[in-house]
Amino acid sequence: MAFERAALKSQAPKCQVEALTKRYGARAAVDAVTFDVDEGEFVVLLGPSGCGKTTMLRLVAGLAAPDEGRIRLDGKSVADPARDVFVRAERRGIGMVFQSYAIWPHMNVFENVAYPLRVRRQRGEEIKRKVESVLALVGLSAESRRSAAQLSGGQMQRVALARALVFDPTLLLFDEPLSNLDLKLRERLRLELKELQRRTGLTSIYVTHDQAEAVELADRILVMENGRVVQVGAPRELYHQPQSRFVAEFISTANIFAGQVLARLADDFASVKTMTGRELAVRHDGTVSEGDLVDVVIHPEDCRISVDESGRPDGYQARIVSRRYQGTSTRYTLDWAGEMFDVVVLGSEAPLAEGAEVTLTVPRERARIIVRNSARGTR
Amino acid sequence: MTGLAASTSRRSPSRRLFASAFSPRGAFVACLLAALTFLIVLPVLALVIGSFLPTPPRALAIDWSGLTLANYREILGEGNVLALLRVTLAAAVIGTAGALVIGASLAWLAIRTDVPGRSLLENVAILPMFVPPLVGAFAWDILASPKSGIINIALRSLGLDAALNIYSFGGIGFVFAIYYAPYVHLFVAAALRNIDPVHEEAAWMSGASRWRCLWQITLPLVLPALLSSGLLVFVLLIELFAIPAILGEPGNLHFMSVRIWEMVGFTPPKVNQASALGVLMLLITVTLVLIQYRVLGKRSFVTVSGKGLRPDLLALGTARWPLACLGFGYILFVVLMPYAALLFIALRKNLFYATLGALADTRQLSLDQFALAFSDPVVRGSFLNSLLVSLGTVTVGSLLYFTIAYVVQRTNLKGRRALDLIAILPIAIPGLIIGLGYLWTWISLPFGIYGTLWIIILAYVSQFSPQGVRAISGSLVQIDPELEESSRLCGAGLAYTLRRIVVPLAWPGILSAMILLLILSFRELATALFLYTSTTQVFSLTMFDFWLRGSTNLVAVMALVQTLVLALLVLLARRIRRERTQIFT
Repeated sequence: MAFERAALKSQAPKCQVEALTKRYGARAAVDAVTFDVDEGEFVVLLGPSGCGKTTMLRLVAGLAAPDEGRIRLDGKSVADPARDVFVRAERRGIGMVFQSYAIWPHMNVFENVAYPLRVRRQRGEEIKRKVESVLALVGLSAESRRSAAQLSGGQMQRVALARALVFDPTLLLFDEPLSNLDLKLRERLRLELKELQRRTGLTSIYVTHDQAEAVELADRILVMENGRVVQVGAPRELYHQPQSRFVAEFISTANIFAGQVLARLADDFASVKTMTGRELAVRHDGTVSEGDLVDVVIHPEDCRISVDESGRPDGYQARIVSRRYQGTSTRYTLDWAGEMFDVVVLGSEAPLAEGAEVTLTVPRERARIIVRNSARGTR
Repeated sequence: MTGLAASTSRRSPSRRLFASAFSPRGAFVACLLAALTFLIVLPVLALVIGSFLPTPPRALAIDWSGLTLANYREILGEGNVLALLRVTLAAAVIGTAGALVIGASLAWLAIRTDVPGRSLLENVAILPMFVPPLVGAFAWDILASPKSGIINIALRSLGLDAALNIYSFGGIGFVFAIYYAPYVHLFVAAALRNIDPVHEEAAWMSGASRWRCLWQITLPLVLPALLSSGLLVFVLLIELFAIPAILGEPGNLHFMSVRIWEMVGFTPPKVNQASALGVLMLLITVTLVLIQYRVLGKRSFVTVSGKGLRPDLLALGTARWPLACLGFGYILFVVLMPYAALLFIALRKNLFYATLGALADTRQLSLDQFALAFSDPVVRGSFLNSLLVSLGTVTVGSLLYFTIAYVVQRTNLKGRRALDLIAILPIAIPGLIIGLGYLWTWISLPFGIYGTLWIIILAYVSQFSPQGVRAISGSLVQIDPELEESSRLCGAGLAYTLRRIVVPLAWPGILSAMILLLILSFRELATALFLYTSTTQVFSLTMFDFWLRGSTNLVAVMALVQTLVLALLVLLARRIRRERTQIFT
C-alpha cells in the first residue's frame, strides 16, 4: 500500500494551473493563480461572488481562454497562450455540472445522458449499458424515459451529474451545482455527492460561495479573493489557522478584533493588547515581533460563558447584550469591555438572559493571531 | 420556461462560445460583413451616386466626371417637390393621428376595462394588420369612391346627399389609420400591461377619480409607447406606396413614393431625378427612425412590475355594451366589410350598378370570374413567381439571418456589432428605395441576375433583414448559454452543437420567423416595382397592373386568393406559437 501511494504521489498532478490570468478589459478576473489538483482529490474553490472562482472554472473547462499562464491536464498542456496552445472545451474530456444544470429540454433523461456517448459515436448497446449504469448510480433508473422538462430541481441536478460522469471524464467540474436548491435538499445532495465522489474516485473541482458546503465536501479548499488565491488548505486548517482577516471572516463567523503585540511569550504565544485596552495571551503561527499590529481571531464555538466561575485566571467579565436562539445552539452577543463579542453555546437550552453579567472563558490555544500584512515591519 | 429561461447571469461578461476557438473566424465575419454590405449598403450607395449623375444607369458604366446637382435642382426647381412633400406628410399626419386614437383606445378598452369580450377584442383588434395595404386600398376604392362606391350608392338610394370621398385627404388618412392602428395597439397594449398597478392605486388613494387617473397617470405612463409607435407608423406611411397609388391619383393627390415610381416607369424615364427624390425621402425616413430610437431609448420610466398583479379593471358601467358594440363594430367595418365588397365584385359579372336594386341582383353573380382568373396565364405565372420568390427569400433569408443572429448573440467575434447595425439599417430604408438601389447596382454589375427572380429575392432579403434577424435573435437569447456550453463539455463541436442543441431549441422561433418572411415576401409590392420583367412579375404587381388597366373583377379574385394564402400562413404561425408554449412551459 505504502508503495502504491508513493507511486501515485510521484505522478504528475491530474490538473496543474500555473500563473493563470484572465482579464476582462483592465480588470483581472483571475490574477496569476497557481494550484495543482492531485488524482482523486476533491478541491473546492471558495469565495464571494465576483472573486473569479467561476471564471477560474471556465478556464479549466476550456469555455474561456486565459491571457497568461498555463493549464495542464494529465501533464499535457491544454491552454498556454504564450505558445498558442488552446484545446477547445469539447476536446478536453472534462465533465461539468452547471449551475443551471443545462438539461436540454427537448430531450428526455436518457437522451440527455447518452449525448456525450453519441458525440463519441459509441455503439447502441454500449450507450444503453453505460447510461443505465450511470443512471443507477445517481438513483434515476426509473426516470430514464421522462421528459427533461418535467424533472424537479434535485432530479435535474442528478441528470446533470450523470451526463458529466457517463463518459469517464478525466476531471469533474462543478459550478455551484447546489445553489438553486432548497436547504434540505441541498444538504442531502451534498452528502450524496461526497459519497459518489469517494466511490468513483474522480478528481473534482467544485466552485461555491457557501463555506459550509466547502468545509463538508473538500479535501482541500482554495479561498479566492479579487481573482487571487489567498489561502489553500484542508478545511480544518483554514478554520483554525486563517492567514488573513478575509479568510477568517469568510470561512466562519469568528470574532475578529484588532490589537498590538505587547510581548512574545513562550511556545508560540504572544501577549496582545486590544484597542479597548484588554490584554490577552494569543497563539501565533508565523513570527510576530513586539509592536506589530495584528488581528486576533476567536471562534465563538471555542469560548464558554458562565455565571459562577468568576475566580478563574483566564476568565473575563462581560455582559450579555442579546441572544439569538438557533434551535441546536444559542448565539450570545456579549459586551466585553466595550467590544462586541459572540459566543455560541451548544444545546437546545438557552438559560442565560439578556443583561446578565457573566464570566467569559477563552481557551489560550484557541485565540489566534493574524498578522496584518500592511502593518508588518513598519517599525 | 424553466429549462429555457435565460439565466440571470452574474458571471463574467464574456459568456460567448466558440470565441477563441478557431482562427478563420475573422475571415468568416469579414465574408458576412461583405455579403451584408453588398446586399444593403451598396444599393443605397448606388442610388445616392446615381442621384448625382446626369445619365440613367447603364451596364458597367458610371461616368464619374459627370457628377452634378442638376437632378436635385430639377426636382426642387419644378416646385412640385414641395407639393409632394405637403401631400405626403399631411396624409401621414392624419393617418398617424387616426392610428394613435384608434389603436390606443382599442388597447385601453381591451386591457384595462371590463368591456364584454375583452380578450377576443384584443385578438381581433390587430387583424387589420394582416390585410395587405394594396388589398385594403382596392376594397375601399370599391366601397367609397365618390361616384361608384357601394356605400355611396347605398347612401344615394336612401335619399341621402352625403357622399364619402375616399380619394380625399380624409379618405386616404382614414384608410392609413385603420390599417396601421394595430401597430399602435401592440405597443400601447404592451405598455398598459407593464404598468405597475401601484401607480394607479396610489392615484386613487390620493383621491383621484378613475378618469382623472387615466389622464394624469396612465396616459403619461404609456406616452413613450404612443410616441414611438406613432413615429413608426409615420415612417411606414411616408414610404407607403400601395394606398397612395390606388387612392391618391384619382383625387389628384400626388405622393412622393408614387411620383418616384412614375418618374422611373413613365416615358421618358427620369431615373436620375427619381433617385434624387428617393434620396430626399430616405433622408426623411432616416431622420425619423433616429428620433424614434431616441424616444425608445428614454423609455425607461415605463415601470415593469414583476409581481404579475392584475390591477382592477375599470368598470364601464352602462357604457359597457355600447363600447363593446363600437369596438367590435369597428373591426367588422374595417376588416369584414372590405372583404365582403371584394367577394361581391369577384362574383359579379358586370360592374355597372347605380342603385341598391342593381346591387342586389343575384342573377349577376357567378363564379365565372374565378374560373377566368385561375386560367389566366399571367395570374398563374405571377402566383408561381410569388411562391418561388417567397420560398427563395425564406431559404436565403433564414440562413443568413440565423448566421448573423448567432454571431451577434452568441459569439464575441470582432465585427459583430457592425453586422448587427447593417442588418437593421433597412428599417429606415423604404422598400421602394431598396428596389431603386438594386436597379442601379445590378445594371452596373456584370453578373446577369437582372431580369431574374433572384434580384427580387435578394432585394427582399435585404428589405426584411431587420424583422428576420430580430425574430431569430429573440429565440436565440431565450436559450441559456449553459445549454450550449454543456454540449461542448460533452465533447460536441460547433456543428454538432448547432444541429443537436441550438437549432432544435430555437426551432419554433426560427419557424415563426420563416413564416413571417413568407408572409412579408408574398405580399410585398414596392420593393419589386423596379425589378421585374414580364416573366418575373410577382402576384402583387400583377394585381396592381390589372387594377390600373381596369380589370377590377380579376383583381378582386386575386386579392381574395392572396388573403387566403396569407391567412393560412398566419394560422400556421399561431399554431406553432401555441405548440411551442406547450413544450417549454
